[in-house]
Amino acid sequence: MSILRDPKRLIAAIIAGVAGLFVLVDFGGVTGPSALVAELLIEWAAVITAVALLIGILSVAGSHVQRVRLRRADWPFSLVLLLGLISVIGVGIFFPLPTSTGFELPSSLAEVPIRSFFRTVYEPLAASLLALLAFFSLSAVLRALGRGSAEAIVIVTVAVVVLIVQLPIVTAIPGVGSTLQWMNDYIAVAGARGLLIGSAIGALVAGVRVLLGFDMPYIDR
Amino acid sequence: MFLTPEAVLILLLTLVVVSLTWLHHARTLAGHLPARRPLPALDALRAALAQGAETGRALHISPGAGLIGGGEGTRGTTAEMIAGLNTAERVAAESALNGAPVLVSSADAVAHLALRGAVRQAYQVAGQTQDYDASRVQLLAQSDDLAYATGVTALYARQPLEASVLIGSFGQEFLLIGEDGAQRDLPQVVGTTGTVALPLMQLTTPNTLIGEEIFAAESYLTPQPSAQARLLTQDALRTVVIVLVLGGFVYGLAAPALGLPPLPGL
Repeated sequence: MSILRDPKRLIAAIIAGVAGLFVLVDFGGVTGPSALVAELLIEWAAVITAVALLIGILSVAGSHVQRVRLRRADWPFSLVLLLGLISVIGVGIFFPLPTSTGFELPSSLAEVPIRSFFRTVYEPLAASLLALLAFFSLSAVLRALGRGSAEAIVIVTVAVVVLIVQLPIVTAIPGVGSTLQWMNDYIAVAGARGLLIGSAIGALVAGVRVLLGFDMPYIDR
Repeated sequence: MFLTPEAVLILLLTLVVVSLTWLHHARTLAGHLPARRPLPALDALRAALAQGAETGRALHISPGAGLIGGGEGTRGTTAEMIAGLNTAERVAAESALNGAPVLVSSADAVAHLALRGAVRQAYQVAGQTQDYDASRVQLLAQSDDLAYATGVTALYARQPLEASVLIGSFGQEFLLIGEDGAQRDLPQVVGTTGTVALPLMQLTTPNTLIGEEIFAAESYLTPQPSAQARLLTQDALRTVVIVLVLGGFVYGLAAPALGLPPLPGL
């Protein structure tokens, strides 16, 4: 059905389009009432995001409570997740922080107890996962070479050549460093810019289609 | 209200793109559909949709670990996420029509809500409301790509899947997901615009959409003419950019000989 004959979609498209236009023009450094409207819209978006996050937390918690209740496969992991969720929120709100006059509760979830929790528990876990990427890369390279994919062979060859020519002993050979720099500045940057321009055009068209109401990923029809 | 030259330029550019979008929308509705080059990655997706209906195994769909509203300073971009959401909506619609179950995951609360709406809507439009299960649209993390990647690998481990569609905003965390899927012989259809994830995707699976192809994916998955208009607009703008680049190159060569001023910004 045409958008003009569907009032629900039309009103949503007008609201989204006008709001999007205000924020878009604000990127150009516009001043006056338009800038104030854009600022207000961005603040509203932040509030809506916070509400969405709350709904998301409830969804995650509900899903895992259900898993624990029904003793589905791997339910102990769900229990760990729920305990982690409750403890982080509890510590972030109720952990007493020493002050010069006694104790006070944290003013936000970015305070010391949460930061310490993340530094001691989460960051080592994330670093371990990042370290795994080296082994996963090797495994992916071997599989791609076994598959005989032309693109994969080019990627692996270029990666190996770049790794080798960056060795100090190889860079010391006259002409190697400057050739590498030239390839990096012209061939690699040209390819990256081509990809970027293509993606930017796709993004621009996607954005305008959302503003005009041709694509409405936000509407609940 | 004071409009800066940048704001005027943005408005003019927007006006041109809006005009082209309307024009191409009208053209496609009139039956002038664009000729499309083949995208083999999407053939694999169609095959997975057909097989999913027979085997009953779910098709995993993800728009990535990016954020809606994520701009400068954040890894994901809103445009990539919208491309991922459009593709997810289209795949969910096809799944609802042919009876293949879906499992949708994301790492952004706003994207999660949009996905819930899109999937529910897809089942409603297909007249299969009773088959919609809200628990199959899952928020696995919030703005944390590594946590999201481990969540997806847990999904891979927990249940047999027909295929996994990972089109949208991905970075280096893709390797954790993609390699796990490849080791399980899970067909994966992937795509992004980021230069970090693209080589990893090419290594992991042959079904890779590169750069702007993720914005065209939705047009390939739907017979609706309005979605084809996107391809016409993208092609027209790409032609304009190529002409501008070539024109600038020729001008740059000729300017010193003809005594012309250099182009601004060069």
